[in-house]
Amino acid sequence: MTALPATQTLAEASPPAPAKQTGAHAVVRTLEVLGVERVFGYPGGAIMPVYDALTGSSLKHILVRHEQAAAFAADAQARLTGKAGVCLATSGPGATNLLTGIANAYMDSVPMIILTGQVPSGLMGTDAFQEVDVFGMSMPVVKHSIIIRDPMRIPEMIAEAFAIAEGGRPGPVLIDLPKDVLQAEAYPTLPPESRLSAGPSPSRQADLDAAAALLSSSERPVLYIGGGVALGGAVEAVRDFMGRTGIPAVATLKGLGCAHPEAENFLGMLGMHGGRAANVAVDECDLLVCCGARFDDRATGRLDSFAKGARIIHMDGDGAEIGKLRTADAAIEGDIADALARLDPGYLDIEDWRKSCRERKERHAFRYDAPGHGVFAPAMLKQLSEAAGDDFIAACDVGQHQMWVAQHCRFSRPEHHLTSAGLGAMGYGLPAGIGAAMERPDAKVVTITGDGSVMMNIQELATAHRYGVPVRILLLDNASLGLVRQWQEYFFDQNFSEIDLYDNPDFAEVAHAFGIEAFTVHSREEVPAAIDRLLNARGPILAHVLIDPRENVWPLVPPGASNADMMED
Amino acid sequence: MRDTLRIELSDSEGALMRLVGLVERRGFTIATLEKADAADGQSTVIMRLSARDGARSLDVLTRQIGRLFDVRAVFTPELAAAEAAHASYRWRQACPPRN
Ligand SMILES: Cc1ncc(C[n+]2csc(CCOP(=O)(O)OP(=O)(O)O)c2C)c(N)n1
Repeated sequence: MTALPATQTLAEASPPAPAKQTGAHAVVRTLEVLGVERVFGYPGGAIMPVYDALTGSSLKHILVRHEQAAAFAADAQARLTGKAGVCLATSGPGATNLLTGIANAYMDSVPMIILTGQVPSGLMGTDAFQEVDVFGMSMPVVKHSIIIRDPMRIPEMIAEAFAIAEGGRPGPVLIDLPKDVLQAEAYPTLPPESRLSAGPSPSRQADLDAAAALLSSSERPVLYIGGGVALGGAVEAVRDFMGRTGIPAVATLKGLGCAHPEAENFLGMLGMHGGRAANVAVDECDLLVCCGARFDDRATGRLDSFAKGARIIHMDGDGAEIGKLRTADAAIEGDIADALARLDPGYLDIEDWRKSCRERKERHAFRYDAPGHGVFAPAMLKQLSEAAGDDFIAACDVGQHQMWVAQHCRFSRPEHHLTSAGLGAMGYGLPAGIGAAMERPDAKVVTITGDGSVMMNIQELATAHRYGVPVRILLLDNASLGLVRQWQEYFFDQNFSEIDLYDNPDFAEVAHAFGIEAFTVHSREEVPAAIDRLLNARGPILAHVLIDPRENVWPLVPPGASNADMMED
Repeated sequence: MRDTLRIELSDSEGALMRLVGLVERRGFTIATLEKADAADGQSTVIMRLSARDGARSLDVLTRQIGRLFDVRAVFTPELAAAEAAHASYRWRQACPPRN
């Protein structure tokens, strides 16, 4: 975001203003001045003044085919850049269609600006046509929200919204724009400098000393890496800390990609679908160093048996996370990167512990020699991510395929793993892949989706086609809602209720109908060529991969069980 | 057990709704709530509340409230004389003021 001197007017700072300056022009020009290049949206009644003002603007508007996709695409762009993504919709149904996407950004702390049209101020509260109180409806899932009532305050309030969305622990900020405000005459001045402080403050030395003392007396420490590491710009600090101390480390779904992918002391993902090496290490450790993680139930399993013998060091940029679910023996609030750099426990005598963790990691490494000729999805995903290399960016949907990506793909950076972690929203993958591939057209962006999830936002094939987005879609088709089926198999007495998608369309034909290159993969032998074709494509392409419906995700911690009680194949 | 919080918040649109919604969502019920007239765009809310179940921590709640953008500061009473009149409380700052 660019801060500009408060004395300048918008007209001085950006291209010549159109003759008539309305609130809508102020919205568009403020976005331009703030450095926004792309907005994802869908027009309609109350937001029409903004669409009118968009013509001639330097903003590139991406017309999605459902507002939810606008939010998901903006979310993916934001995850990649760390800057707020922007989406735009009309009042009423446009706004409600955004809600899942807003909740998704909130749960994963993604900076996002949501602009919604609203009925004219005088009609608000009268059940007017297409009026919904999106300000009220979205309150539980936004970091902040505002209704702009005064056209003269548009630049200032939008600038503040960006500062809130991007500052501290990031999150979505909704801006509701009544139509009369958009149509009113406005002579906007430039956004003033934000009154928010930029980053978290450094941690207290006494807290770091207490943590260092715990560490140096520990015999079996484990580093528990969460999404807060990437948010706090602490990836290098984590890698350095792991190298310096040799501490075995595990990661949450959002923490994947923080540790160096080849680090010997990285034990993989913990939790419900975590690996045995990671879950057992946490179970046996005597000190858990929680770094930007939040003891989420998918990661901890039964909370009272999670790392039960261990003391806890909890580091977080957001103090409200510390002690929320597990009391910390040492709490370190503040800048995680700075805290890790200053946390110096000296030499740790943990060689035996490191060795046993390493041996367990080798003994329980995933196996890819599944019998038969059918495509074994875990092996295909592993090969795909390795072939794509450091530029691999995965935009996942939700289900078994999402867990396979987490378990088997290699990520060089945490922001390269785009996944709906906190909300688990099916439908994320395709729009997120589009948002990511627009932002990083030269990277190898792959949407990895299932036959259930892809149908939640299949209309976005039209967006991919319209803009020639280089998104590769890997559709793992097991003709069922696989993750639900797996739970029914093990926890509902094999009562397979409403999970059969036997009558799916031919997805390659569907893609063709949208004008997108597509092909079907039936057997293991075809996999290498399919990966090649996907990775070398220049525009959108879909690989429809048929897999065995009985394939499951292993290991699995049953609901309500302790992480140490994993079920395995 | 009931606890008492004093919250200073800016009088912006939705601020009270946001505060009350958060307290309820985070597992507390509000017994009484008093909002003073806003002066200088800032108002004070005093609420007595209790956790819906034993696992909820007031300390975590105060930090979650302190995170709200409209909230300037959160105070807990220095003397836990929960039945005393609000006026006689001495307040201890639980969340730093945002400037
Ligand atoms: C919007 C939404 N609805 C329902 C669910 C519940 N759910 C989680 S996984 C899943 C099945 C996903 O099926 P598919 O996309 O085919 O992936 P698979 O598990 O087969 O790999 C369902 C229904 C969800 N997460 N999100």
